[in-house]
Amino acid sequence: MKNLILVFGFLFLLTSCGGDDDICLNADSTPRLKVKFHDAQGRLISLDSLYTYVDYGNPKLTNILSAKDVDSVLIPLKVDDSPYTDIYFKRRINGDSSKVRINYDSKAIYVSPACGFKKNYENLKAEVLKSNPVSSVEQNNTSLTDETTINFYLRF
Amino acid sequence: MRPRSIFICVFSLFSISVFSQDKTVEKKSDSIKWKYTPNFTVGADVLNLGIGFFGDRQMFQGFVSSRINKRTHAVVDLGYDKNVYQKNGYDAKADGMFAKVGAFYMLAMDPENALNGFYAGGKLVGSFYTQEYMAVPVKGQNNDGVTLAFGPTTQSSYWAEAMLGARIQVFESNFFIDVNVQPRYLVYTTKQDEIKPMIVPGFGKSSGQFTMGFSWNIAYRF
Repeated sequence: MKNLILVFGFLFLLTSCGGDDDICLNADSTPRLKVKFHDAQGRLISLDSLYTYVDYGNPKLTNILSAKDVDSVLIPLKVDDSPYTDIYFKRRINGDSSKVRINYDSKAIYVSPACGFKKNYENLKAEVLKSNPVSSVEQNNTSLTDETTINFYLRF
Repeated sequence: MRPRSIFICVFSLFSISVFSQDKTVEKKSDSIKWKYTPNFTVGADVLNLGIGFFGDRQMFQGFVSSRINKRTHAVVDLGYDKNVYQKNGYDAKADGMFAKVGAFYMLAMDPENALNGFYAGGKLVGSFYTQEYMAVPVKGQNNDGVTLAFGPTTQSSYWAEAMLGARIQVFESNFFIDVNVQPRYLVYTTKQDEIKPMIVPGFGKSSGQFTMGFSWNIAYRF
């Protein structure tokens, strides 16, 4: 009888094991592009308001940011095989919008069973396809492997 | 979480083994009398065979066991498992053979029939299989449904499993019903492009190191 209690006790103990690594934390996901802003003289500025949209290939652009007093913006790039992501910036909701294309080489990196893969980006290059309000883009860091460094400065 | 789980498992096994040892000492006079004669029990898992008709997992497994002393039986299992994994953006399939070698010890026996009773044991298992990952998710904010595909490859996995169960003779016949559970701990697995396998034939869904197996066998004793 004592044996039986042992056997079943053991089974109950084991049911507590395993199963909590099905959650993918954001930190393990693909890093976002970090962008700050310069004025015409190249000084760091924060904008009174900014609207940012990204073309993920969906019928509608995806709104990333609509905010006041913005000093930086984190932009998730596309994780599919395409070599570029188009980003749209505007200062006023009904104002002009700039189109900036970020070109890159992406690389898939395995993270965990729950997360699958994430992407890292190398050789980041920005081109302004439509200016106003953004006049040009200054390169700061050409690789994107985490969210600590600033990749580009947008000049307004 | 993981170290605690491992500790619980090891501690439980340890306490069983300590307990079992006391028993052996008590009954030493009995076990001397028992002499090995060739004997085999052959069994097939009917529970997993039946489940195969209703789900994606097709599993066939059977065992041969032999009583090697009064309380200990050696056991060898052979099986085939085919399974799919379609969850959280994954689409994978795997199929292959696995073999298990181990022994179990009768913890409590029916005084009138030494073959009836509860047992505990352990096995080492190797699984050799083909896997294909048609889709592995790529995680990125605002990017849903992006996946990568990997072609079929041959892989292998190795694990240790404990077994706890009961064996009961069906009336006076040579048939037995053998029911057991197998808590398993994945020790080593080969990987394709660093991807941790989501399914391992014979082991089950394996994003964690632990799984629990159940089997319900019909066995025949020769």
